[in-house]
Amino acid sequence: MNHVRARANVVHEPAPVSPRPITADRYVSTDWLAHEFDRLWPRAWLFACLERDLGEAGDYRTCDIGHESILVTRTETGDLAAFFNVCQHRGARVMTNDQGWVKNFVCPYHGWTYGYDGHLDHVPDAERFAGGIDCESRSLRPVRVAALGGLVWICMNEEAPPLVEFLGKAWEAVSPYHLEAMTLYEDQTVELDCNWKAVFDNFGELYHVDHIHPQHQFLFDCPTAENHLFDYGHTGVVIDGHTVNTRNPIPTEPNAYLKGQLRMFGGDPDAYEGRVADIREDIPRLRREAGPRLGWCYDELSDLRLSDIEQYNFFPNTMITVQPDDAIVMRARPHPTDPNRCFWDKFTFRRQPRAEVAERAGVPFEPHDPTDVAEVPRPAHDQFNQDDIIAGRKSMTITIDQDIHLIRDVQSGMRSRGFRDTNLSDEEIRIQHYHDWLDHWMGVRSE
Amino acid sequence: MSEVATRRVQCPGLADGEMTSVDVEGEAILLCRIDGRYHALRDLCTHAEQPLSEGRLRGPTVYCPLHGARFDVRTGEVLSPPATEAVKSYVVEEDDEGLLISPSSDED
Repeated sequence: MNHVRARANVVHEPAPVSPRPITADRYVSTDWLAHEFDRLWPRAWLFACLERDLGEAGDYRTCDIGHESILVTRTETGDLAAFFNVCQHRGARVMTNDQGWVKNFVCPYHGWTYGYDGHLDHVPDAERFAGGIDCESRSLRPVRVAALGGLVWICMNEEAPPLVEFLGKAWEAVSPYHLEAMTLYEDQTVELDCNWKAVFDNFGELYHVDHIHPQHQFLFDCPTAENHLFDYGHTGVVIDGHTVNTRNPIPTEPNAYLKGQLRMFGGDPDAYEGRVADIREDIPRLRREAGPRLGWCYDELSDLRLSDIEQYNFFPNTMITVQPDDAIVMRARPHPTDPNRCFWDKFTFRRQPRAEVAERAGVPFEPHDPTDVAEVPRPAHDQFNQDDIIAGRKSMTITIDQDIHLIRDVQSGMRSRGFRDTNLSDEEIRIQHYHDWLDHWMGVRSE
Repeated sequence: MSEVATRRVQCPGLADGEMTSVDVEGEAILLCRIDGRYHALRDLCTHAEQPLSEGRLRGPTVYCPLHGARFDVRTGEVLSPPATEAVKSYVVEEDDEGLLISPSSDED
């Protein structure tokens, strides 16, 4: 039976420069790192924080990138605002921690006081400034800010296109999953001994899956995944789910994961003995039939999206993985001075069952797990290092843990005189596309 | 407030997630109610000595309104810059007549 269902056309928007082997210096060189702080980070839209963490006027987050710190807040009119986190008196940091709530933004050095809108509202001993103080010109310097899908993005570049245009078709693909309506379950950061692009590259290909993620063969068909290439260096991959790796013989009965999924959505695992490959075909129908009773609405998702998993990497450093009932947002942040270190953030979201979905459909509400309906307090941010993962003290999911086990050795190898540049397979086309765009942004190619 | 004595205060009738400042023998004490239990801290940020009661209580964390320093109201532990020192915390017991506030046992 042909289980291939037609998808929308694969997108391959060309990069502005032709593909070249990816050089080692970008991963290991302090000059390259410094150049990124000049040419890349100040010019692109960057995922800063979650909109849900800015619920009240005066809630703030500081988002640090290299030596820059951006202060993001909610104003009294309910708008988002962002500023360079630097006092306009003598350049001290105004907010010296990562998040919170304050009555005003008060510089701890001399008490210069700014409103949530960045306006300089009060200067102690203002009469001692000859000529007075121009509060308008000495207000906090604004930074562009916008929110999509509950994610807040900032941009230090006044010339950059609007956020929606920058994120483009990759965001159009993510939008119907409505991350803003999902519940945040985890907020984690791991410090890694690798360049920020080394870990981002890892999530830019599936070539490694057969070798370091053995469990994936029972969940997805990674070898047949579709790669998408978008303007501005974004990429996407769409992977058949609720199936098995079709390079291997198809088993005669569903594995434990597939059995669990079938049972949850009202299917009979015994009916798929000898026809495991049909599960992917049937899961969308079962999901739609069972969804309202379970408290999940799938109206905005196509059938393919109800069986499969999609991942979008947003240039330069944010990736979003989506499935019908959960999402992961991850972000690579550079170390301020060491190209061999970085920070990898992970936000785990799940769509909680909602009684009103069942009510609208006129069916009884019977969540798969009644505890899934409980109020989930905003999880605390948990920061640790890769040795915590390797020792089993922390986990970011088995798959990500497996990547983290490896990534230090990837970076070590790239520092060797014996490594000059990459030689990529066609499956690694997303990495090529990303780095071609990166070269363009960094101005390192003259074509 | 005396370093060794237990003092009784009237129960402020807070709901979970609420806080208030009460005067106990001339000292401002921050009372918070978390998960049905009262907690007490000196109502003074150790960074720039602002009343924490004018800030925000979110879960077990109190935010100083001036520069955003955070403290755990259950222990007084400092959770973020710009503060570097813990806030003095007290043991609180509730009975039918109100609250009994006493210095915590790990005080110097």
